[in-house]
Amino acid sequence: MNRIILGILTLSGLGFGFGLLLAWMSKKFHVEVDRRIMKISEILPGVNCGACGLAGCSGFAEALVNNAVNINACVACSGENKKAILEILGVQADETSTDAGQIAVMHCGGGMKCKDRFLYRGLKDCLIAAQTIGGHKACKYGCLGQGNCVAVCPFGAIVILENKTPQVSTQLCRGCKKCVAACPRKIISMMYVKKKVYIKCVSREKAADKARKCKASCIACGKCVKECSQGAIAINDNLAQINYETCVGCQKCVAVCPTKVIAVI
Amino acid sequence: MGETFAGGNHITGYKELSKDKQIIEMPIPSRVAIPLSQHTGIICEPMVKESQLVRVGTKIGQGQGLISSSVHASISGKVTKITDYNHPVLGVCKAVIIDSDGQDELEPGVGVALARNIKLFSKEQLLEIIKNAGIVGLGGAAFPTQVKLNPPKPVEFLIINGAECEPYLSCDFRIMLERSQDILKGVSVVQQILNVRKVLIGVEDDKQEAIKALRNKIAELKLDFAVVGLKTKYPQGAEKQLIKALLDREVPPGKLPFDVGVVVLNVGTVLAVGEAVFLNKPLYERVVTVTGKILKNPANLKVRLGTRFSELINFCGGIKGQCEKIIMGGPMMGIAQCTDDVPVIKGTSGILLLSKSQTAGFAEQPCIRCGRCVDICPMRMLPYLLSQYGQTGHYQKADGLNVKDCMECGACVYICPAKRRILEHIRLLKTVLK
Repeated sequence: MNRIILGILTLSGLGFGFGLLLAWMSKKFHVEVDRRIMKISEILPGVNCGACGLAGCSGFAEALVNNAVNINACVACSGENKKAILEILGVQADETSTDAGQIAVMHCGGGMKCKDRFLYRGLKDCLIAAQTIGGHKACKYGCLGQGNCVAVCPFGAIVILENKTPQVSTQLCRGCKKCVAACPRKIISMMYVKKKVYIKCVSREKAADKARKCKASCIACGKCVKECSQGAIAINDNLAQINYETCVGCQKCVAVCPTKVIAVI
Repeated sequence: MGETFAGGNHITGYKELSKDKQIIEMPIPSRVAIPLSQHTGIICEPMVKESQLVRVGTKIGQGQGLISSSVHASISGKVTKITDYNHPVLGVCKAVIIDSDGQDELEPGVGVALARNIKLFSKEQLLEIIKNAGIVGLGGAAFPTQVKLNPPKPVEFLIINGAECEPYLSCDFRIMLERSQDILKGVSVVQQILNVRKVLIGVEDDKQEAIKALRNKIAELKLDFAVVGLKTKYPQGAEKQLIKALLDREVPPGKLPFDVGVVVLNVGTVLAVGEAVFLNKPLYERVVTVTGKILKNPANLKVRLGTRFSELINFCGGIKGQCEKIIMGGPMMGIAQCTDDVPVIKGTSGILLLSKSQTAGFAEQPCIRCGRCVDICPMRMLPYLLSQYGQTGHYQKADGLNVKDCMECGACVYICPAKRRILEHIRLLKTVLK
């Protein structure tokens, strides 16, 4: 019996002693934390995409509080959340902070419409596919469809459709640019949502070669150039290009394109 | 007992298909497509125009920059086009298409036997001859030979690589047997260029006839070259493994053979060097092994560069049954082709045809950590670990494990009981960490 009482007493004594020690230490070694960092971290997307160039979202929150970075460096945060963050920081929210921003667009609509040179059975990775005697697609500029962009997207915004072309979701894409860096064929670029139209082809081969290899290529027919009332489209190197300085997003070009290469966001 | 290195594995050779077939000269093709990039380095600039007449040996592409090589016409006739054409390594490459006039007329001076006393030539003169002849390493990597023969520091040893460890291939074996004298003449030229005393010729010990032929010729010509029998093992013919086997020297990671005082050349390359110096013959033809169980008559053919694979296959009697895969080179390090309408280039050592049963794919299983890949890796790397880093995307973890040392010999994939695609994962790592 004595032993049991002794055990209980010893353990409760130890517990009490350590409790006192911890209470004292928490006072002694107290670190002053800026409450705003915690609050901002909660509002930020928390996907640590790294587009701001800082060590994750908490690093960005700290930099915001220290006034070392602009709120717009975060591409993943929505306009409302940016406003909320600026409120916490005590800054007046202005127009630029609620900008819809850029999203990624895929400049290739080849997929199954683009011929295969051979059956690719290698690793499901675009880098390896691109190395395999020049890639399995007839077009040496186009999408290889192995989904490196899908794998790298922290927001799940990219899917490979049934016709083997990648598609970016306008709602989900936050413009972190990770996919732009991941694509070995460089078919992904960033554009402002409000610009509306873009060209879904990157091939600079001769129009006849392109038409033979891919049914979804810009054949440089020039119809869009004629249709555009703003003179915003020009054909360079067998490829239509939109000048976003003058484009007003009227989408007239979309209707006239015979190969449906001009797409709307 | 032959010399060897640590690791490697024994692979069924299937050399009996073609090793007893004498080298046959193939009839001149009616059309050749000569790619302007057949070597490691910068692509050539075309020197001819469309509809220009060329002869055998006419230089049609000029090498650009330090690491590059020239290309020459392999038949006489008219240049019909300079256009993009299929390429066995790059997929598509700019090529000069020549239609034959059937005359097979040589460029003046080409192919004329010269009684040159090479002792009177300086190193620079000989290198210039080699450069003009467009000679590259004929083992497969096609590195320009004039660059290799001009190492930044003096070397001690010259190694001639006659190992031919790739299964199925027998072109090096045949030239060692049939052209041993010409090979040795070439070796003397290279020996003078490098100013080395010690020359070793490494041949795998399954090619006893070749070892005997070379030794007899060396004795006959009273030369001071050593022919060393090597253990038959894959990859015995890899540069670094050959040096380890013959000299017990190890090339440090990221360094080249000359860093340990060695230059390694393939037997085919030295033969071409000899022909360039003594026959004034640029590199416009090479010996190619056309083989495979489904080929009617496997053969060793002397082929003009630019001849299409389909013509070689037809010349060998065509295919019996169904062909699933055409590979340029051997089965281990060769490159699978997507069409038979590709030209023979300087690095084409063989054309291998495989049937469906020989190319059966296996489902990849998880690593069982048996460690066989670690045992056999000739570079003494950790293939199982690297492949896992590659597969799971932990690329940075592989930093510092010398991924770039991997020469992609595929010995690990061959031995893996879980049928893991180790090499592809490592290749991905190499690409990402570049």
